Amino acid sequence: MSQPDRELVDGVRAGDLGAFTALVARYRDAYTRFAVRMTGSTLDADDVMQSVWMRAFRNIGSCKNPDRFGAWLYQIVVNECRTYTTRRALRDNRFVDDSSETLAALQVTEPDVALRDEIQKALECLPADQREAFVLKHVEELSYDQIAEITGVGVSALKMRVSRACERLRELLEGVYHE
Amino acid sequence: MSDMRDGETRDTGLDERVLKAMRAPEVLAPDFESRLMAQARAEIARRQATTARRNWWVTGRVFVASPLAAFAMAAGIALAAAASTLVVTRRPEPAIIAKHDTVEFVRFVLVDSSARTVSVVGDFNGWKRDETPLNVASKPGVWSVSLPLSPGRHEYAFIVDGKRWVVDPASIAASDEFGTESSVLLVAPASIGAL
Repeated sequence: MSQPDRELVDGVRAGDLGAFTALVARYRDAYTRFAVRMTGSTLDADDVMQSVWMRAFRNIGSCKNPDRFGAWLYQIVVNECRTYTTRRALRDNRFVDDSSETLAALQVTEPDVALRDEIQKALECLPADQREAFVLKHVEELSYDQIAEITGVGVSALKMRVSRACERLRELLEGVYHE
Repeated sequence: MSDMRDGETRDTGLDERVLKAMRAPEVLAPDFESRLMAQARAEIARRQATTARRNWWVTGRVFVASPLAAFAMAAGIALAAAASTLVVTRRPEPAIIAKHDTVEFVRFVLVDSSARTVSVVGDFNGWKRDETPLNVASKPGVWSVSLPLSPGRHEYAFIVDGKRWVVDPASIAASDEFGTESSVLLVAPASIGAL
């Protein structure tokens, strides 16, 4: 039987690197998809998730309920993704341009890859708060109460963001799936 | 595609194929965990060094010395204090130990859709061409690897298909005394402090 989160969190607090390794192994891939959808690429998500885990490692003492380590970690993931997208927005749209150039240079023609890129571009067209709410709701399939706990945003505001995101995505992706 | 779960609508009005693609699992690079653990070990080492330095100052010590030796020690301490004052006056840089305790992870990326293998060589791996291979990243032809590097100046190049020397197009280049070009990377010390 695997060790409960509480014991592993206590181990990390006591300086046990093995306990940290076990937590990473347990949650390693759990939030990767969210980070990829929010940042736009696996490479950027990798950076974000490295940062997430180091933040969790340094601040494990502030995890008030170790039995709910996963929920606490999710909050860090959301915050790191917000920080990342905010910083990127401050740059000169380099990310989007680079992505287009890379795709053109590689001449990617596989339908699945092309569809996923179209979807990712559509997600990136959404305001960050709408993208975050939409991904948590319809990609990660969390309840509004769960999303409210993780993001600190009220349920009614979340519903509005998700609704607007769906509407915008339908417009952006209309041509993609009616081909 | 409309259903209800937990009393909440799942209707997005989006095509199922789109949602399926959005929900496709994503996997991080195979070396994600080893890079993370290297960072965690560096963090622990930094904490231990900080604690050791703090303990050295707060731990009580008893010195036994003859009157003559005590006088010599007192004079020595006074001289050391004066000298350190001079050093601090000339060089106000603090926390030099932190620079040595810390590594920064640097991601090397090369886009080459025709390459079959790519590796990076540099002063950090002894310019060994098989030491540090790059992996195909999220898209075909995009090669990458992240390495822990100490702060400072590093020179490197890519080796494509085991023989072709490629200077990083995204970096500045420098030539050695034989005219061979390599790329230059400056790694700044990691910022230190609580998050």
